[in-house]
Amino acid sequence: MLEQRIHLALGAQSNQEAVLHQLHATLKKNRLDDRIQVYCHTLNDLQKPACGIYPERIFYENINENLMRLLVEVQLLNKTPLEQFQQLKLDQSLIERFDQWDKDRFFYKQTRIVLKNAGKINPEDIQEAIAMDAYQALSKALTSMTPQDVLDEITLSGLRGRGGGGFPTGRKWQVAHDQVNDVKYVICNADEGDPGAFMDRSLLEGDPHAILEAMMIAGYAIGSKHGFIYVRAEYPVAVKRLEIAIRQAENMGLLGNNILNLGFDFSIEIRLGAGAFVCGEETALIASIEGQRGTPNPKPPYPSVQGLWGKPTIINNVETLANIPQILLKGQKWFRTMGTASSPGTKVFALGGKIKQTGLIEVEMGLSLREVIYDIGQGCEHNKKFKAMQTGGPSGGCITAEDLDTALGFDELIQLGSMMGSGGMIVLDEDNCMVDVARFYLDFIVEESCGKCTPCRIGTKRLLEMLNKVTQGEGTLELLEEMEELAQYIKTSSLCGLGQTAPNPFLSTYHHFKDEYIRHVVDKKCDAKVCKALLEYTIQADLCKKCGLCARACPTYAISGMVGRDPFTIDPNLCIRCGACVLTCKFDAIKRQ
Amino acid sequence: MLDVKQLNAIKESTLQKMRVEDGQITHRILIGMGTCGIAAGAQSVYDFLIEMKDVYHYPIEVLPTGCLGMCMFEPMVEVVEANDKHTMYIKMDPLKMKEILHHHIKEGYTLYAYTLQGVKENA
Repeated sequence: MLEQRIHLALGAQSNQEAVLHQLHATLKKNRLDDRIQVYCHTLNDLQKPACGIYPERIFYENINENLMRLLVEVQLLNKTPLEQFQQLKLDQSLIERFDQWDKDRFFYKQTRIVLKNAGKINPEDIQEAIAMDAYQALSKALTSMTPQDVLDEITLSGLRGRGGGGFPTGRKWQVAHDQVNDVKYVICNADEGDPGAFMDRSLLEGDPHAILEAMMIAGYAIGSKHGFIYVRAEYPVAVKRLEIAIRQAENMGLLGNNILNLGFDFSIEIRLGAGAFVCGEETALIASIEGQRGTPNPKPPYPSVQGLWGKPTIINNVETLANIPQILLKGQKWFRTMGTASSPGTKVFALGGKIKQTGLIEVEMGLSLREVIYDIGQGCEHNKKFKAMQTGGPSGGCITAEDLDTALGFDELIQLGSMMGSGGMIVLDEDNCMVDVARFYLDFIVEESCGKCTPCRIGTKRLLEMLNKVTQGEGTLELLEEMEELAQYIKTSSLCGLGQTAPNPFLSTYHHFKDEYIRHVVDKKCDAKVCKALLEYTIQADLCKKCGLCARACPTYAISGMVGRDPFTIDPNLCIRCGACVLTCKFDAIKRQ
Repeated sequence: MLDVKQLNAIKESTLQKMRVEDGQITHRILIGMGTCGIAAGAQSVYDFLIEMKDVYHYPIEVLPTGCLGMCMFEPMVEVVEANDKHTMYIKMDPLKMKEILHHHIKEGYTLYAYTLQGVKENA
């Protein structure tokens, strides 16, 4: 748990680094190094080192090694400021710089457990992974724990599946463990299909050995000797690094027969998915590995009982697996200190959309969505107004500005009508039309529906057609009611999880932004100016300087007038609403409404 | 066949190497080469550094690494020195890298304008 942050500013002279060295050593000696984050900055014009302690905002300058040691022991350990050394005459511009550094909250609001090695080690070198504690958890499990001990540790940690459903991982493993069968399988689900999500890809690219190790631990716990990684072929870098990792582990005797000379056998194979969204569903994934068409099958029997080739199989998401070695190494109590009671631990999110700082983040559960968007993501682009956040991909839903103070967690997000999903977070601002957003996700679902059951295959297609009608300006209030009814049918009668959640993009946006739908069908207006059929371009005669630039830019010759004499006008029948004239006009004379 | 003892031995020796303490190599240069980094042009930075290292024998180690999470600032290059000193340069290209090789690696001072903070302050 990070409590405090020290920003240390050093001058360019190399002898000043002794201070940093002292700081690290003293922190370690007092066991503060996991509670205090040290940030070191270099300033070329600084003469003597200075530091700022946050969140208290206490600054010290002219730091030497002795003062640094004193500072850690008195200020940080006992929380009493060193009155006689506190230098208030610290240069104001330097204080501003410290504040600026501290404002850069991208990293400090994050807690990196799963991603701790990503971007820090060379993923193509197994030795660097080993240096960062890879395979230590495996050796601990094999030497000092029985499979039941491992299962108990995972169950007590409260780890829930990070792929979306949030099913307790320990329970899943326990069921597979209790099955009596000579062959069992471990599958790592790296078929990440949600639009705008790339957590699994980054994990596999940044730290593949964590996944291999976790699969071996899972194999040891349930009594399996063989594992599959199902990864999509669209991730060539991830596949390449996984292959290298597997080969290196095999060469070192960390994979294969008699692992670590402790009598445990495990082998891992990579299976490439052709990029079907439905293959992320566990029964469809199993069918795909078996070489059949990737379509889901009814559950039960659950894969933990009867999975791949009829054998007990556990399927875990990449991120779930990446948590396992850490839990075994540091203990379930440590894992429980993070996050909320019902959702312990951290979650990786792919933050994207209309946000200033996009990227991959890992935060503790229980952090509010507001902190994620405004502190880590630094708010909406171009200071536009935040409208909604889409979580959980096509199966998820929208979260509006009113619900931003909700704490992150599996159950909390479901209460809001959305879901955690695999972790895509797409921020939408006032320029996004919610009807269009629903249409985009439904379009994706129609494309990716496997076609096995009728409600999903035909129902979603009809729903998309109706949504298209709304965006074309042909909608009526009755149509909206019909759509809601159809969505409920799809939800209740589809076969697999994908079909049951397929109408969610529509239902969620309809629930939260009903007035926007009504404005589309009654007033035939799109306030976000996205739905082209509902837009109208007009040239304001009093602002028009009769230059004729717009007429030259128009691809369909819809603008007519006389240069220097008559104001220009747009023929709405010819206009294709491309917006080229708006971009060309230097006097903002063209109005879009 | 590797056993637990050997595993720990590898861990210790590699950690030492990663802390850049043995003196042979003074700087460890990590290039963000996840898909996001490669898409932003990290491959050219990597190729450039390898070439410079081979031709001019800089005492550096050039390594590809995964995504650090700030995909919007790719290609990112992290320079690691002894005493756990990290410097993060963002939005790199071979030209900027050449300056960094000269100023940071050879002469030993940070090019603040190219670091994460520097770019933000000037923006």
